Amino acid sequence: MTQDRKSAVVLIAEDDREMRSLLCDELYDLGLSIREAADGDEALRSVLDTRPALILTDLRMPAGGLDYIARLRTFAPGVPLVLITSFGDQQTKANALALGVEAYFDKPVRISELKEAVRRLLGPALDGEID
Amino acid sequence: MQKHFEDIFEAAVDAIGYAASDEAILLVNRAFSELTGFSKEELLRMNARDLIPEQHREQRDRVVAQVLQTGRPVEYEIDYLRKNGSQVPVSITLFAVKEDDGKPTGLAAIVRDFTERKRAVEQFRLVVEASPNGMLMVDEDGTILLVNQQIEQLFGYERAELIGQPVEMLVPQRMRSHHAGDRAKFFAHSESRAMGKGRDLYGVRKNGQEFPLEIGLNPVRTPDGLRVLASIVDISGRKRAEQALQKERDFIDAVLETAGALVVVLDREGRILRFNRACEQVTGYSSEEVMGRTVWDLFIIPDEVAGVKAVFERLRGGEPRSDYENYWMGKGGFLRRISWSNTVIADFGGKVDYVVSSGLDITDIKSMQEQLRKTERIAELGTLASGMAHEIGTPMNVILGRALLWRVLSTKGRRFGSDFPLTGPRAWLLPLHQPPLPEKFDRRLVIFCRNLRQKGVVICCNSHQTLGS
Repeated sequence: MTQDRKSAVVLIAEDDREMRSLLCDELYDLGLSIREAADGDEALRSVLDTRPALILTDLRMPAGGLDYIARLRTFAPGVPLVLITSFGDQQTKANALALGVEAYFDKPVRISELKEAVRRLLGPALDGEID
Repeated sequence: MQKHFEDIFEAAVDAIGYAASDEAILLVNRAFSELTGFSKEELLRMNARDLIPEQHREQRDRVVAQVLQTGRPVEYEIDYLRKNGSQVPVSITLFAVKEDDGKPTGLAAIVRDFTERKRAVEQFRLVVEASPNGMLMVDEDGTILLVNQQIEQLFGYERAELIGQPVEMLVPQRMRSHHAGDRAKFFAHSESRAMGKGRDLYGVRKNGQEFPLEIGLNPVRTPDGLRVLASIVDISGRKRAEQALQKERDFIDAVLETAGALVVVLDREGRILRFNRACEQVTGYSSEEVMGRTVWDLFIIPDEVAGVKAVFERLRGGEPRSDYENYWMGKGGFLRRISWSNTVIADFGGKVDYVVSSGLDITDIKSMQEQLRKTERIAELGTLASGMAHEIGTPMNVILGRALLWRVLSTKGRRFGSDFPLTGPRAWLLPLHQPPLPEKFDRRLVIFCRNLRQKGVVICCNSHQTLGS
């Protein structure tokens, strides 16, 4: 699940294959190197292996949940976390932000807003968008 | 006139005889001859003392002397010797026959055969003796004339210690003065009745110990005057049993009245016999208000009367127990839901006498259960919504994302060229039938629709809409 590029690495953790594919396609266009993970365990392993510049993750997936977010935060303390969830009530959102999540999106997410958040969080690390 | 007297004398039922001062018999009637078995002739040759058994003569001589001395008649009992050697008990009224100057010239005796009476007296004594109750006879002065063995055992006295003594000796000291007055009243208005109606009676034993007793009084008219035969029963055992029973009742009452459960007891007609405090608190009715009335007249709402009556009928018909739940309507018309456990009390023949129902007011529990059910439903709804959001949100995101991507791409004509026909702001409303759709989008949409159908969500796709118009 790796697309090699000499650019910033973004980890995309999402159990839905189609959604993951969409996100990969969209972020690939930003000129990022993409790592994919289909569940929480795979995401944590990938974090240790690749030291991503940004993590874009679903909340509700196998080995997911707020515990998983807390572990991500522990393994990658300085890495921006973007959380996308299907059912994020106010309490979930508050808990996630308390754990240090930088951006929070409810599904369905506007791809343009998501890309904007990624751009903002990566800043100089971003090589350049594929046009 | 003389002849008349002779005829009366001769025909008299009682034996009549006349003797001289030396007791030589001068005149006897037929009855006298029949009583003694001697003929008249034989009697006229005898002395009156010849008819008295040797051992009684001295006693009898004293009576004769008394009559001659005082001139007043005397009645006494004695045995007569008969010609055949047997003895017959007799009652004799003896009086002196006097000259004009008052001097006695002879003795006259009216003699009655006492056999039957003596037999009756003996039978009476045997009956009294055989009675399982203590029996005691007193005269108007309260003197004890007769007791049976039970009295001896009951009071601890020998018979000889009681006969001739005032009956008050058997009454506790504190009650003696009242007793004497009551006894006098009874003799004045005697009738068979229980003594001391409405109050507790006590006797005192020889050792001073008091004990509760029950006394029946029977006036007996005898030739010697009015007597009272008292039947006395020691009720110590019964009193103890009553006290034990009362204690048990008090205990049951205390339990029933302090129990949180409703307890109602019905007779076999459904009438309320018992209605404890919990019932009063739940219904607002007092026990006095509901006694004798049926529960279905008072507490059961019309819709439930038939059901409650059916349960009651089954219990009355022999069903040993049952559980039932129904509303009780209180005094103000409010309803309480009661869960009942019913059982029956039957007689030895199995006939149901009482139905005992114990109930718990479950109104609040029901309300809480309903609240809990609602809460659980809301939680379920939340879970469902969460699942639905996940099921819908993710594929919807894919469709939206892809649609936007394709719109951009089609505009730019890079990847799909003229195969992708959609442009403009409503490009995401796709005509589903219109091939060729890009593979990722097509597959995702089909899977999405199928998943939603499985979850009961109906997707309405307008396949005829012309996009971009």
